[in-house]
Amino acid sequence: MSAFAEPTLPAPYRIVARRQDTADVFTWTVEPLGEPAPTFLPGQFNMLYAYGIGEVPVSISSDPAGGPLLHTLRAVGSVTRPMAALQVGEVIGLRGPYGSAWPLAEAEGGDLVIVAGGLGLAPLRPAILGTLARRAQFGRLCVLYGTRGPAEVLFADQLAAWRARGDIEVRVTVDRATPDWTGEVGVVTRLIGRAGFDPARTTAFVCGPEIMMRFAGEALLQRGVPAARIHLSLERNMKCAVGYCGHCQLGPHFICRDGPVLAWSRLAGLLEVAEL
Amino acid sequence: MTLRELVESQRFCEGLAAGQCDGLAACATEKTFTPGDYLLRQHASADAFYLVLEGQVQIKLALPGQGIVTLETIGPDEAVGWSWFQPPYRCQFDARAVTPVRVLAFDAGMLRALMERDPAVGYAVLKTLVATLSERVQSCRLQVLDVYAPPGEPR
Amino acid sequence: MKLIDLAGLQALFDALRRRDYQIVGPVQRDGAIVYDCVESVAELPAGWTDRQAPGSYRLLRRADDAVFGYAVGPHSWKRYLFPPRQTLFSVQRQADGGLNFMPEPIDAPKRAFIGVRACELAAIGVQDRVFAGGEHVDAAYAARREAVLLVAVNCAVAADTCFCSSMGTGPAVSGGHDLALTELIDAAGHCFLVEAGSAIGAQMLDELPGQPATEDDVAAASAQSQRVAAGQTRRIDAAAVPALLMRNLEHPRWDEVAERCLSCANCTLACPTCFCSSNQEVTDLAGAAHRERHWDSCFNVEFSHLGHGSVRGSVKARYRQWLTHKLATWHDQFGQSGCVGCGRCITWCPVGIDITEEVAAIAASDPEGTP
Repeated sequence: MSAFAEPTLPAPYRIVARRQDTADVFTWTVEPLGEPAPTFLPGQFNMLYAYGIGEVPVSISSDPAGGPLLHTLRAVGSVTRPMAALQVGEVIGLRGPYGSAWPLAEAEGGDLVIVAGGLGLAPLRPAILGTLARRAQFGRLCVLYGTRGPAEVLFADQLAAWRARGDIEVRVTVDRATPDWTGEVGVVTRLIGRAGFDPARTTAFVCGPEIMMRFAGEALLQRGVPAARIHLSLERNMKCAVGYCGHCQLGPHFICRDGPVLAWSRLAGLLEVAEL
Repeated sequence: MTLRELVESQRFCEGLAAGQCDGLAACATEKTFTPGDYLLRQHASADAFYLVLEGQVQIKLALPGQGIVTLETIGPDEAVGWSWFQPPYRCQFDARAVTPVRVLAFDAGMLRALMERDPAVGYAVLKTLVATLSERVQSCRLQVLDVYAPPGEPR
Repeated sequence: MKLIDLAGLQALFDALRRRDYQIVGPVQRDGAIVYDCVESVAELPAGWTDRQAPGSYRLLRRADDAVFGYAVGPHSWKRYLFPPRQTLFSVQRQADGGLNFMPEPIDAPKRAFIGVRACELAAIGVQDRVFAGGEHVDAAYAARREAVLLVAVNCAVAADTCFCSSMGTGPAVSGGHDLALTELIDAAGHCFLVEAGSAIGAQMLDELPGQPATEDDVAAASAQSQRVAAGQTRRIDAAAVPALLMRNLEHPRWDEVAERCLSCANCTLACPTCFCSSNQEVTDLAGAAHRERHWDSCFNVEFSHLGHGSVRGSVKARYRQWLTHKLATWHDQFGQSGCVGCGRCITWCPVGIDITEEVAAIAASDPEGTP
């Protein structure tokens, strides 16, 4: 038995690169100062700590097969706003990875539909990269992305590169267009009816604001995708990330441990209850 | 597929008798538009009701000082236009083809007359129209909700 | 089994001290019976009993000098096994900008808990499952738990707020103890039936001066437990309550209780199984920081804070979360109920909300219930 109180101790990591993605979203590339970073599965998150400020759960947005370790964050609160001001070279704390993963293996052999909204594209990026690494194991692959406006499109270059491959259907829509926008306009759920996939053999991964995920899930169900094959990535207040602080509960589920990726069939009845 | 078969395969023909589908087909033609063509123009008379078969159509509005803004994209299996159903039968927005577009175009006057004469047909077409409107309202509501807005920004 | 007297009980205290156990037991202070360090039997609350009701707790004098003649008070043993504040680790910022994370050594003193009731043994078992029974073991909790010796007491009285009998957790002690005492006091004398529940308990029992227990003694103890169980008036249908609550998440009773509930979190503080915590980063001017973990409550509005606001912004949502977690979803998470029927939440609620009454109200107008 360990003689120390906190086995889930953060380890020091240096910010080696920083990219401003949109007005309030940025991506860090981090490297461990000590032990090599543990491997992670698509959909998992790390707890990132800024000295004296606090700790938040952040989705890992890099390639699970290897390479630089990326985290994409939005400057929204008392911890992430100061984090947005950290410079390249500064050291943060990192512990993880935590949580359940996108079930890529389950999706093999059929079509895969990815529905992302806003910052939700970040935890889905590792899943998309994981799928592309084994492209032949999947049927049709559709990436449907919606966000507020043209200036908020995340990973625009990456989306264009994926579209250019020719073996992925990539559709990007915005809620509000500017005059120079030539892409689709409207809520992301509308893309579900237009995408080319066979519902009977489709698995869907959905991530974005909760209300967007609910409507997207309903649209997928209506198109005939089975409830057990629609997976959402949920978000809740987290402190410990290991299922003992109680903050992240949604009904019986600890989002840090039973989630963040959960099948629609396991969420039945919970998402519709206001303030649950 | 013949025009008759195309019309019969649409949702609003479900449950209608053969004669009634014939009536609908008589109001319809298959049309194509090239990118940039207008299906509907704001303030113009709403003479047609379109069902998109292939391609993308955008609903646009000219905002003074800001240029032309797209409000919504409409795709296959979706309807374009409902001003044809209500007096004064004037389009409120522009509808423009973004890609090559193929549609079933229904002559608004003939369709309205058919719906008046045959309530069963009228009801079937209205069901489609209501479904379309309800989906558009729901989409609009989600757009208005601005779900991707940063926390703390005033609504 | 042995029969010992007060001197024998003192001998038990001495045996514990010889083995370097810090003894924690009940004492009377500020109008309540609370847990604190004790060294002698003389410090126990002899001659006191309690009268409890929703939102009310009073100590009353007994006609005799029983030392365990009351039910449970505001404290539970969780304050020792799961302290209200703990340092998890400290961080030092280095000259080259690096961070050095240093885990905190575990503080797990040897302690003996005197007077652990059956409901409290059950509550310790519930927290064992939460903190040490899953994939992630809280090492500090496990160490403190290992270092504790449990001297249980079979209740001779139940408060009006007790409902351990319907929750299947008491009043008789059935396991998890090192030693168990039953206090027998009448005109004929004052003694304690003692039995061992573990190897170390058996060792200590051997050292105590006393006589072998007779069949009559055992029968008297057993009859006492049965009287206490039969005297409990409050109940919850423990088997039916999980499904009952989860199919009534929009029941109007939640709105009704929310009008009374102050969201003060007293129930979660008094509850022996509530385990929620939060972290706080603490920094000093010398460049050192540490993370503290402290008790938190789902009744705090910022408990569920996320981006735009709290997921559970209304009192109704927070009360519903607490009760459905305690009585229903705890089963999905840990395979047992989170409630041990101790009644503390009823007694210590400033507005006297009684969870047994709330459950009954929902059951009474449950659309799927049998009339």
